[in-house]
Amino acid sequence: MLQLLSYFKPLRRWKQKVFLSLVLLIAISVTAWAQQITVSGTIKSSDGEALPGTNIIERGSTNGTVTDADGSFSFTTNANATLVISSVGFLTQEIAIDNRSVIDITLSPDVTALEEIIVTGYGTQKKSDVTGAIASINKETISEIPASDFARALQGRVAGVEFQNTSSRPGSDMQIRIRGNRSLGDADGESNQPLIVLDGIPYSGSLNSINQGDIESINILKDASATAIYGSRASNGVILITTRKGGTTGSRFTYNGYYGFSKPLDEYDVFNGDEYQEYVTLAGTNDLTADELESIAAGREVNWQDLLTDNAHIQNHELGFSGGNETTQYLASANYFQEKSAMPGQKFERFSLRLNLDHQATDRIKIGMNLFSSYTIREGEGVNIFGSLINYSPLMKPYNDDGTVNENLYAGHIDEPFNINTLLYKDESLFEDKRRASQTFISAFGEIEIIEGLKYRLNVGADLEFDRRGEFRAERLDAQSTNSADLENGHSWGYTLENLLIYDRTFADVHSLNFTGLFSVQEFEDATSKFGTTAITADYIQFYNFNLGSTSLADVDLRDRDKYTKWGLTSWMARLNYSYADRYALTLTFRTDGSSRLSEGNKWFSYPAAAFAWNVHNESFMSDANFFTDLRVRLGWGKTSNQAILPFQSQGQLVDIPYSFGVDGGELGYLVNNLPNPDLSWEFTNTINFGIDFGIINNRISGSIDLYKQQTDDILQTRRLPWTSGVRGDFQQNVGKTENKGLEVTLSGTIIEPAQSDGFRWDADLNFTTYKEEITQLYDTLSRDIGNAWFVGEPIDVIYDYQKVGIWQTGEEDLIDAFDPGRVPGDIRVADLDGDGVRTDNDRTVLGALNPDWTLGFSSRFSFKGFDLSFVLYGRVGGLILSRLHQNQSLEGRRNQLDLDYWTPTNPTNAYPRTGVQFPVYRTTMGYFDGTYWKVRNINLGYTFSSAAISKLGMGNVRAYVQILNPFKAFGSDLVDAGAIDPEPNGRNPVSDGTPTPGFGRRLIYDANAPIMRSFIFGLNLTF
Amino acid sequence: MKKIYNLFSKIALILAVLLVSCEGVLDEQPRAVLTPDFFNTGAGLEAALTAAYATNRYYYASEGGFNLTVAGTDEYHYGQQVPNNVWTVYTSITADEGSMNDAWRRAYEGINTANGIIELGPQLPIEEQPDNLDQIIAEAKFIRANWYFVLVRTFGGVSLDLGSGFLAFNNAPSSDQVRESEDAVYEVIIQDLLDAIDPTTGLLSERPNPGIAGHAWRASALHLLSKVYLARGWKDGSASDYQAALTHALELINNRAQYGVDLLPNYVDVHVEGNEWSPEVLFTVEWNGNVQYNNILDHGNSLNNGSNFYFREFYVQDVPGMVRDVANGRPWIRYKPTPWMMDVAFADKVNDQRYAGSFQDTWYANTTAPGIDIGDTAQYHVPKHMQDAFANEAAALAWAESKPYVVTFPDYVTSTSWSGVSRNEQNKHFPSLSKFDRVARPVAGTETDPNVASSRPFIVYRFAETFLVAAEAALQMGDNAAAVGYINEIRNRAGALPIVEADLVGAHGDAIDFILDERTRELTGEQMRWFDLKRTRRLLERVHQSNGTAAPSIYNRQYNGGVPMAGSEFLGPNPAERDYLRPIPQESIDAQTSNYPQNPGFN
Repeated sequence: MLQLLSYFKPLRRWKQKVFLSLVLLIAISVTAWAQQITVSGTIKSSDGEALPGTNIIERGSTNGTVTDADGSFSFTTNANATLVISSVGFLTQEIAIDNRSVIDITLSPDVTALEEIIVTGYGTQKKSDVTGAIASINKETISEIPASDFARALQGRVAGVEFQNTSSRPGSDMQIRIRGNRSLGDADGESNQPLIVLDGIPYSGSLNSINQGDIESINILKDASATAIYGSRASNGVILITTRKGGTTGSRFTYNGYYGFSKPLDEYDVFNGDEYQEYVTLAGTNDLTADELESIAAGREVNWQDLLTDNAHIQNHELGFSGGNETTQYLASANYFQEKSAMPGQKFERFSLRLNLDHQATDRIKIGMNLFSSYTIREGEGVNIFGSLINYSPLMKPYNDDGTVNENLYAGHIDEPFNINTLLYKDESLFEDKRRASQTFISAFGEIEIIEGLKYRLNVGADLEFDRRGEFRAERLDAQSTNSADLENGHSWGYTLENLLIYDRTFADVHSLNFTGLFSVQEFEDATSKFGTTAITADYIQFYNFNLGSTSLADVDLRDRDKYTKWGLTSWMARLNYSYADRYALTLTFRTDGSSRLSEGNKWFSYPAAAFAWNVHNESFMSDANFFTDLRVRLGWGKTSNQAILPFQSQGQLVDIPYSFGVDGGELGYLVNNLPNPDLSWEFTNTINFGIDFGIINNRISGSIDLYKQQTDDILQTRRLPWTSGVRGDFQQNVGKTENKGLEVTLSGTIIEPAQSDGFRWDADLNFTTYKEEITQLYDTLSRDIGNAWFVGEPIDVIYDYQKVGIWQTGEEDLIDAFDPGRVPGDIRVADLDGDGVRTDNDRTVLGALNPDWTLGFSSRFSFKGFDLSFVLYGRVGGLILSRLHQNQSLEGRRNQLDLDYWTPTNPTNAYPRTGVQFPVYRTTMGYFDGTYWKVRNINLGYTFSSAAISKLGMGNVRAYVQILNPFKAFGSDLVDAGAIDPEPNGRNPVSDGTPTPGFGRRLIYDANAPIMRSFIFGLNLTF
Repeated sequence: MKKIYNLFSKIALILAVLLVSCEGVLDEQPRAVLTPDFFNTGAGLEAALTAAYATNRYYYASEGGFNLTVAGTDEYHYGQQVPNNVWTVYTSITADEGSMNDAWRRAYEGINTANGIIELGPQLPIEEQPDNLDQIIAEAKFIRANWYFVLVRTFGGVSLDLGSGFLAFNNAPSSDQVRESEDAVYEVIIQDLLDAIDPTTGLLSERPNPGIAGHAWRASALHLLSKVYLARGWKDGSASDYQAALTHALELINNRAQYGVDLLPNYVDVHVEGNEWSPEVLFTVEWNGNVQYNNILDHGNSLNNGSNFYFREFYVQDVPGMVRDVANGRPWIRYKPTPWMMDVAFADKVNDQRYAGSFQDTWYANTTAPGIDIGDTAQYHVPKHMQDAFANEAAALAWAESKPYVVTFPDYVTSTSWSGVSRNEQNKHFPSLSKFDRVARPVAGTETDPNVASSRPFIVYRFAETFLVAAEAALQMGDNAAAVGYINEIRNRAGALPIVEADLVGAHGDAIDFILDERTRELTGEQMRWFDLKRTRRLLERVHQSNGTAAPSIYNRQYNGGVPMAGSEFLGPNPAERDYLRPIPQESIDAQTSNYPQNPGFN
């Protein structure tokens, strides 16, 4: 009770003040027309914190005061004066007194001031000194959309950066591309992946290990003048993640949490009972089974998707404790995240802990560390139960009469020997696919000031990961085989050691000089072993005892499943930032990297960069131009590389070949599969970037425009050796060239600015990206490489195939015989692109690229009183997407499938071909769709409780919100119109499938994967 | 504070030292893959030798290997499963045919591996050197010589520098090889084999025991060297080469006991399962029943021994009483004997064991059918001499009609069984080469599975051929008397009637036709025939005469009551002068940066 009372103390004080003020006011107004009044009040920030030390001055005078520790003030001034209230880091506000004696004021943060410091890699810079193209994303944006990792939350939020799904299953990684592709390397390899740097140390773990809420800011270095400090790993851009730190003002508890209910956004639109019956009858390739006929007679049908899917949820809880004083700052946070999909056995969970500590040991010495540890459990990453589910006939009997799962769905059907009932997956004892990963990432630093302005800093980082994935399938889930188990164990570790020498001085007030010198060493090792067996004695053994599985060598093939990589990188780097009077800024960078991946004598390469920025608004001739608060022009050039060469690739490789001498036994012989290739070198990207940053109307509208051109030389390509070399494998050669030109626009603004701080406010952000990627040279004089689908003059990822123009119609038989003999009416008709009147290979063409023509991200936030409402919209226009879902719709009449408008003699459509054909010729052409779509990612409605009510409970800030993730299906998408649930990729093309689309490799595709979720989320942010 | 300051400077100092020593960070040590450096160890050298031997599996007993040596000769025509096989009919052989790769591509893999052994072996530090280093190097030379011998005869002059120098182990990618002359290639082959038979540093003279069978020994090299000299003798008309061929053949013949070599007493035992390491065998490509190292369950694998499949006829179709079983094998129906081989070369099927020892012409029912019990005759291919014993065609057919089983005649068609069937159907049924049959099933659970690849070693060279090489060399030097002696040694062994000098003279007035016929009788199917015909320059004549439309026969002609069917004219063999060389695979030529000449006629 006593404690409770103490909570009311501030309130009493406040009341007292109001009372006193009122008394005073009355007294003054009564006693004098001297127009002098005493004004009092409290100054707070927009998130409810009191702001001590705020200056309050009567405009045009020196009369003023400063707020006390509670943010309160009281002083006497002219009754119709205007107060000017200013505090560092906040926008200065002017308020007319209008005879009021109590004025509570909320200051808005000065956005430009907050962004004043930009993390640039190996240090920070004032924004006005930044010369490169860097996108800065703040905490609010990062945690605005709840997700398993920040990349998912940033989809469509950053100009020039594309985050795409690689799967719709929980916990899957995102594919990140900064300014498109440069390398012709593997679609999912390292050659186009950006470098991730976490608290200054390169990070190789999974992004889903990192708690979104722990991130203070993300800075994405896009152009080479900014990335060149990372040299041979910089071509694909660098993502710098900075985690939160403790503050200097006392301790604080925070809780952020949400819980959401999820449901599949939609179902795949498949044939219903009547449609299915009609389609099968028409196809005539299979008879309906007895079960199906019974269903028809009984008028029953099944919605398989509904039967299988369940309610899902997403939740996140995060407790933080932070604080500190002038010498020591700390932050500790604990996080639990869970996302469960609507599919059985698909789940992602994360437990993570973080401790960030900074300590000023002496005047000259500063030390600190970041410790981060996470444990993630990912289930069902390899379980695809949707592919077969949509193929089930709606007329089949899912359950037996006794309620058990009908395991002989296909009784009497041609597929009887091959099929199981996918509903068995609801029994989670029948399968397991669980990856448990534990990650520890520690970085520590020590910094010493040697002489004024000269600092030596040591950064040490360690990265440790254990990963174990077990897979098991019971015999009941595989109609043709025994049960099976696989186990994969991975362990990786790495360290980074950085020695930095930093000299930072300003001479004569105008010459700012910052020199950073670096020597660093990094090593990383990764070892994975994998083994499997079949015919395990009992199902519950799963993958826990391989001695209880088959011992036949034919079943337990151990070869080629273990992996080991190790690489080391040694680097020297020097960077000089010079700025003159906040008007001119120059950055010169030189890095030289030695890499273990390259051969002796060829290990070291250097990366120079130079950039210049001109703060036009600080020029004297602009002093009258009030329109621009901020105007800066940037120009930069730099050279970088990517990591397109794998460890050991330059050393050559042997391959085994079995042989036996004599009556029994045998041995493996080895011969050369790949020759040592001492000439292998990196791919080199030269980028030139021109940018303008501006802020107008007192920075109410600000933005950036960047124009760039990247040219990548010495691109690695796989070439075949003549067999006379005696070596069977291919070799890599640095021969190709690519080019990429682009434009990025970012705009932020306050569209409606309230007169009062809690009035109606409307902020909006917009980003626009467009680029043109192009292969400019393949090897020799080759202008096209059809096997890889690479064409000079085209982007790297293109679709090369026939062009479907429709369906051959009845009566066109003569045309068919002349052009494409063997086709019949109802078959796919392709265009005669070479105009020779006959369908040949030459009628294939580049149908389009996977890259969009342009993308647009738009987000808006409205606030009024304590309410806030926001949404994020993303649009992707142009480009193609490949849907294997559609390519696999055979219309054979054997299985159910998407409800397509198929051709019949009485339905002479041009959409989809006739039924009854197992693999329709040119069926690949059914899977290419315009990649355009528009999507609202979320709608968020929040309420921040007034500080009075909150203070009563002793809390600093309380915000509650509801949010809908994926509120609508995408708009304007051909793919969605054609029966897909969502137009974004949800998988990678399986290479082993011998995809008939040339060169498609492991690129992103749409397939019959788990549907994406619509989630209703309820969340709470508390600060104590 | 001072303490911390000191600590800091110490750390900085340590790091400064680290800077100097961290060059090791840039060294690479692979662990999950083997790199070519492995060959710089004793274990690596032995693994390389195993691999060099293993490359032979792609060529010997493979379909590509048979296509290049057995098809397109006077001995075999195409079977029903590969109608108009380009290797048989020649007309459409192009530089894109896959079969060439089984020689062209695999030879260079074997050669490069051998180059590595020969080059790196002597450089090994003493402690790494295997005890039998000389033997390993000599075996590598034998393998290299054998591959180059295959190449030079198949393609003509080939590459001796694979990218890193003359006969050097390739260690850097190069797309610029050159074609050497045939002479230069023969020089390399002969030098390698002379090294291999060197008494001090060459191959061992003792035959390897069955536990390590498959390794070459001096007998293998002597035999091969005599063959090489004979081939070069023919090419250049060089008497000294003939002499050298004879000398090395006689070294083996005369000292057979020393080399562990002898003829088996009975021809029929030569190809019996289990006799692959008999005293007659000089070199084998190995297979055994170990699944892991022999892929025998994965039939159709490129490293298989598929010889048990290719020559089998289609006994499971149109033959009542027959189903596929292990004893009769899996029919792939690739190669069908020509009438010339059946009727002329093997005219004597009574005294000479070699017909019965090489072919299956009778099938016994393995299931019941109307009028047929298990064990009854189900199919019989009547031999020419028996057909000729009938008074006329009608009598022969009447006899056939009286039999409950299927009968075929060399020249006639039974009215009931064969009329109206297409030529391809007729290509289903023929006496089938049985040298490569494999009935034993070493893998438990496959005892009744006919679809198992052969687990028998393939006999590449055997002692009987040494006599034929000696005979041919003697003939070329005009010593017909000696030749008759060598020939009669193997005829006697086979039970065939001995010959006299007068028997040697053939249509051309020389003895070549006789020696070729004798080689057919002794060696048919053993991956040599195309080279024999090429060597003796009788390829065009013999293929046209014996594998074309010359002989009226169900084996090679469309019958419809004796008249060729309209619209299905026979695609006969059509070799031309260019066909003395095979085309070099286009893919390999395309990968060259400078011009790599194709053989004439294949551009």
